[in-house]
Amino acid sequence: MAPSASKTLISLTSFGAAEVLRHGQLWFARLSQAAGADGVEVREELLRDAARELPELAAWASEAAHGQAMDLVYSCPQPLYAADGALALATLQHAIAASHRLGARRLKMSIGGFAARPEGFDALAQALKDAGIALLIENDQTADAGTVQALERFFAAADAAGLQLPMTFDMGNWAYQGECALQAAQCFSGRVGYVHAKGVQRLPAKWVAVPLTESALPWRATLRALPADVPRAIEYPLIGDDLEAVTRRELQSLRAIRALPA
Amino acid sequence: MITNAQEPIIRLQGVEKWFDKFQVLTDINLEVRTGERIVICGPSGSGKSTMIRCINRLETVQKGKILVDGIDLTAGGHNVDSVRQEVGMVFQQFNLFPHLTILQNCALAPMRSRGLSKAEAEERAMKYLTRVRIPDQAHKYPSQLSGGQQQRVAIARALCMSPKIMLFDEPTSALDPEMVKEVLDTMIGLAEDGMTMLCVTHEMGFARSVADRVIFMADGKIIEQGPPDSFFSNPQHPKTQTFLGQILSNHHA
Repeated sequence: MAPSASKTLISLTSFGAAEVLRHGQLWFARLSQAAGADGVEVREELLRDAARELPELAAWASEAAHGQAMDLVYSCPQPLYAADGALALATLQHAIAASHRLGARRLKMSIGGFAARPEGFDALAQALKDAGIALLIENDQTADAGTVQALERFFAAADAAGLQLPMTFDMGNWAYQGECALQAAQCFSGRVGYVHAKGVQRLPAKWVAVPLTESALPWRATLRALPADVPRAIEYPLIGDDLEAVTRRELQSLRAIRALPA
Repeated sequence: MITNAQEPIIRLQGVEKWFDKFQVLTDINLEVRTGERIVICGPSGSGKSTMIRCINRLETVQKGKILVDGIDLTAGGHNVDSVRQEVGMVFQQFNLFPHLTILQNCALAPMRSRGLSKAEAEERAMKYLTRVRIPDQAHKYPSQLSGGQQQRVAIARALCMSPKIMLFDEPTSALDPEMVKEVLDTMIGLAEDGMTMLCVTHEMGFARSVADRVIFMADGKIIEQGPPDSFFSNPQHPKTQTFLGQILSNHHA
């Protein structure tokens, strides 16, 4: 995989589901590029016509942008394991095929209903080897796939099967299951390959995503505990009448945090 | 146009409407005073959108009487155009012309219906685009704007016709949650300026802070109505209680 240290991406869901479905992901990818992003995370659930949009995004990303192609991550909302604990191989193959159409070398999925059974790892390893794609396991907002214990159990089983998978570390998602993001960072730091920079705040009855600097969590300490040389993506609402300026400002803010000495 | 301060600007009397054999409005009686802010809520299919669409005759009724600013909409067709000039409407989908710029979208109707020159219409358009806080977007096309911005343009476009009444049919339903506020803030500004407003919405925070009266509809009927304080704190009808319980818990979920 080409080095992607210090890259700052935008997860396209940041622009709002209704907005992205209305304009299409290419529109927001171009806006992200104009605002200075190094790449984007394309969201399967926000594709209106994957057969048309993925090749369009691939063509856009490969065009020279200041001499450098844009980084792409493909986000699949379907989990790696079905509710019965079995590897969802068809889902994985679908996600790999979509990543190929996009030209993404990173695929993000959550583990779903992983049941700590050893079977399935061989098939998973073979599928990823054949594809040449890095599967980044994300902590989501569910009890099955968003707690430290569930992910430790999964990674331990995968490691034991000889499959060392990197992780998408979503800084805000830990709050949804009452986990401490800082402890999680200390626990998983060695395998983190991609960071979702997301702050969270508690409304009376739910968590909502907010910019890192407005987070109720110890985001700075958490970032410090994570590897500095992996790509980071903004994943919180980006809104404003001058959206490009807002996006540029948030990218600069995230880069400034990265630039601070540890 | 007859305007009497003592007379309601909108009056619906015994209005009934059917879609084929399905009755969508049953014995609707409603009076709205000039400057009154009304929020209409209710479950899907309760007839609330149909009711406000009758007020500018986007829907016709089979029975009853509808008077808007002294004009009987149910008496015959020739007064409809003049009523529509007095009643602005904002829809869930923004319905801007995609091939026209924002400025052109706003200037079109005043030029065609009010006889304004292009310069006059554009001056008026800029006035209202400034009022909804997006004058900078005037020369862009709708596809270049966010949903919240497009809805604010839709409001500005309606205001360009200098309406006496504004109807809103779920104006924030197609927006991401983060964009709802910018549209509601615009509507609050209108309310503070004294515009007569009827708004179908599930934004109960807006209803609490802006409405003079909240109307609850179910099964094509007005079930309950009252000032927001009593409507929210002491709903009388079991259907109102159930609806408010659901919608308020959803908004906090």
